[in-house]
Amino acid sequence: MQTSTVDHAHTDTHHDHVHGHEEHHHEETFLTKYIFSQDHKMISKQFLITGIFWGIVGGLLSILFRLQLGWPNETFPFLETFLGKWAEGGKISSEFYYAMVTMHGTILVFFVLTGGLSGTFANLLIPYQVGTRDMASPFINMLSYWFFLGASVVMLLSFFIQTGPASGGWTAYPPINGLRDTGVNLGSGLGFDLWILGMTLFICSSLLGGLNYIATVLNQRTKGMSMFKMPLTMWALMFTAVIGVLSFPALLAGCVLLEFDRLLDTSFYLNNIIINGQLLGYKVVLLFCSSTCSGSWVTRRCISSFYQLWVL
Amino acid sequence: MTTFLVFAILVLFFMVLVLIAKASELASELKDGKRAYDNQSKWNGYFLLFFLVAMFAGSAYCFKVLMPVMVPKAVSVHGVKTDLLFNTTMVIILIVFVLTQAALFYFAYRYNESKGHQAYFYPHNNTLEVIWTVIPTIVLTGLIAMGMYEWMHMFNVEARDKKMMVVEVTAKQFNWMVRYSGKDGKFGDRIIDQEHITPTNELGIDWTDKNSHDDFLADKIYLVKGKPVLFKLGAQDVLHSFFLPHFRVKMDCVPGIPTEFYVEPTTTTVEMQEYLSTQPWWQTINPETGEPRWKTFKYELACAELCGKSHYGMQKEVVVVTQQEYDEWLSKQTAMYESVKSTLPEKTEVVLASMEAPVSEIDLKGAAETGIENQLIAFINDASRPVDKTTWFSFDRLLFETGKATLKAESNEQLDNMVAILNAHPAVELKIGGYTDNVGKAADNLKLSDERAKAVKAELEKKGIAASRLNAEGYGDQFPVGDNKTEDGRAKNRRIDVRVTKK
Ligand code: HEM
Ligand SMILES: [Cu+2]
Repeated sequence: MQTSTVDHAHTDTHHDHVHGHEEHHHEETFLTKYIFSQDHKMISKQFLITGIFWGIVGGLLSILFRLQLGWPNETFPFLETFLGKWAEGGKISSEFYYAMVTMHGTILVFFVLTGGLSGTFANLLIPYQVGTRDMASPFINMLSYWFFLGASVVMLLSFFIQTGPASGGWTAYPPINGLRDTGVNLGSGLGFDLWILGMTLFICSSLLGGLNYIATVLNQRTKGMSMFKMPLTMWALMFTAVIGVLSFPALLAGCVLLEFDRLLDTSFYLNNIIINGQLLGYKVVLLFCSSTCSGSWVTRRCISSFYQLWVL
Repeated sequence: MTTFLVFAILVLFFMVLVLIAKASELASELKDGKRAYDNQSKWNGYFLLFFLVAMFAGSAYCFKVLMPVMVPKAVSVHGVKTDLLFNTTMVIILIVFVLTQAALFYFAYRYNESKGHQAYFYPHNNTLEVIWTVIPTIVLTGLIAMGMYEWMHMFNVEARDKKMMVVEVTAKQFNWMVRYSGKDGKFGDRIIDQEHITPTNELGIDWTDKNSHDDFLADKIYLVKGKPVLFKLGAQDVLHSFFLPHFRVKMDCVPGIPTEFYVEPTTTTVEMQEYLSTQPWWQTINPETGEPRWKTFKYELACAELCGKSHYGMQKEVVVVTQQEYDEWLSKQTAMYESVKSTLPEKTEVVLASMEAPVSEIDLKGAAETGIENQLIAFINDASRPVDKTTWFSFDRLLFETGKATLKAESNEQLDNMVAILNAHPAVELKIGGYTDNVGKAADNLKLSDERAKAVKAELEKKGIAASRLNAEGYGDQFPVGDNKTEDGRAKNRRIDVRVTKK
């Protein structure tokens, strides 16, 4: 109820304001109001709905693999109905188990907590609590959601390919994820390519959103609201955004280099490892070729700095 | 398909229920004009209160039921301290959890929205803010300090027992290779390259290193109670994690980065079984074995880093025994070298120039008294030294053009000396071995060394030695005599050796 009153007040002032200008401008179509909306409240709802969807998917996955954990020797024929070859005879295959755990982690950490929660609450609360009409850039805000949706579509698609979704753990460590070899790990095939594509889109979304939150908090506070009078929530959301903006580019770089290793035969993360009794050495030595150690270290650093997000 | 239909029907049924509830709510709102909202908010309050009670009861129940099933007490010196740290943290968190959650849900119930009730506006209180910032800071700093202190103890290299055991564990998809150093207490070197890593030598052990000859692979990890052990950890393909839950040990195994963990076991497997036989859950019968659970208790090593499709199968048993039992077990192990010995390429010992040897009466050109020619002659003349496959004589003045199998002119002196020796001892037959340093591709080196050995053979034949008395083979960059890391060493490794095959 409360939000809808505010909604009204807001649209009313909006009305008065634009009246003097062009008449047709403020007439919102279904498309601009609900789909390609630049209104922070609507975008927040879009994030919320997408986030809830992912919450349900992530939760369902945890139920499925908990079934296997809790009753390792039972068979559940209905699983075969739903999952087909991934649960032959009603038992989840080890490969699909790992794929589900990996996607559960990915979905809950990135698509629910970061996208769903941060996207929903930052978008809804920041303009309200710093006292501004909307975000610093409503258009970028819209893009942020659409990148998120794009990322969601790609991640969801990866469930439906023949070799299944990524299955090397949500941390995506090399070398297991660095080899585009489904013999080493089934999900390291196309599934992981899609994972990286999805994460790339997701990171774009987070960066666009984060920059917007920071700019809004720093520049659009209402008269008299100094940084220290700002509610604690705003500090928390701003810091989350700052840490995100600092750590996500590193994660993105790590992911892209990993994909180079997979598709272009570079050796950022892979050398001197033995796969099927074959020693993989420097395949293509690039100018700043790094060893396995520094490679996995970079990813670890990105991930661990990323962890700090949850401290707040 | 039927399951799917049933499932779809259930979902639709649920949706219909929700819609009916919604519609009846709207209908009652229309009928008596009362806002359903007030009622809802009251019920929300009750539900939240109920949730609070249910959550605490559920958590308490889980503690009661699951605690006895959990991994039992720590059986390592540091593990006891880790547990203390864990339990301290757990208690503090539990207190805060209970207080904050109780307050959260109670407040939601007590102050739910109702008509005519205005929220009390209370924006700021400095004292409160200081309190809830300072107290957690102190508590967290304390916990972190405790953790750091224990960590530094666990990883303090100086404080390690000098008489500790060392066990090398290498992880790969999908098993653990556990190597003990055998009686000498020293591990043979490992060389990680195409040539040393083979199906029969997965660890790439350098068999020319004598320390490797008593190393053995164990099918279970045997440890001695009260005797510290350093696990040297590594991986060959992807990340794995060395996890000994009962010992509170977990350490990543990373290809290319050696890691280690120092542990002191405090309880033998048998003692642990005795201890567990007093624990209620462990006394229950395991339906799979038909025996009480404590009877089949084993310490276990597991992989704790998702490493591929059979990750779950990366397990190994760990057995803690007394020193006496350990010694007994040790004496039953067979060294890896025993099983590979027969498959190794011949040759392990290279005789170099500059060792003492009696000067022979054969006329040699430019050969020093301690030269390799005299070594070879001494060997031929000494009846007590049998012909074997391991004694090679390294000829130091047979030189080739770089990268080719063409002998340089200055090699002639030593070639002539070889001819002289062969002519003086007509019964002697020789095998000529060619070698290179390790620069370039192994396959190319092998080919070049072979061509060079054959070039020497051809040259000797030209000088009148019967082809039947000579044999030649290239060994590439195997069997280095010098250090391939220095130019000097590499020069020593580019060479021709000779072995007596008959005398
Ligand atoms: C619905 C309740 C949940 C249940 C029952 C659940 C259950 C599990 C279980 C059993 C695992 C371990 C599976 C395995 O390693 O075999 C797991 C992994 C994981 N969960 Fe959850 N979880 C839940 C909610 C969440 C939430 C809200 C998050 C978000 C922070 C989350 C993040 C993760 C992550 C990051 C992993 C590790 C994934 C990996 O190893 O790649 N889970 N979950
Ligand atoms: Cu593993």
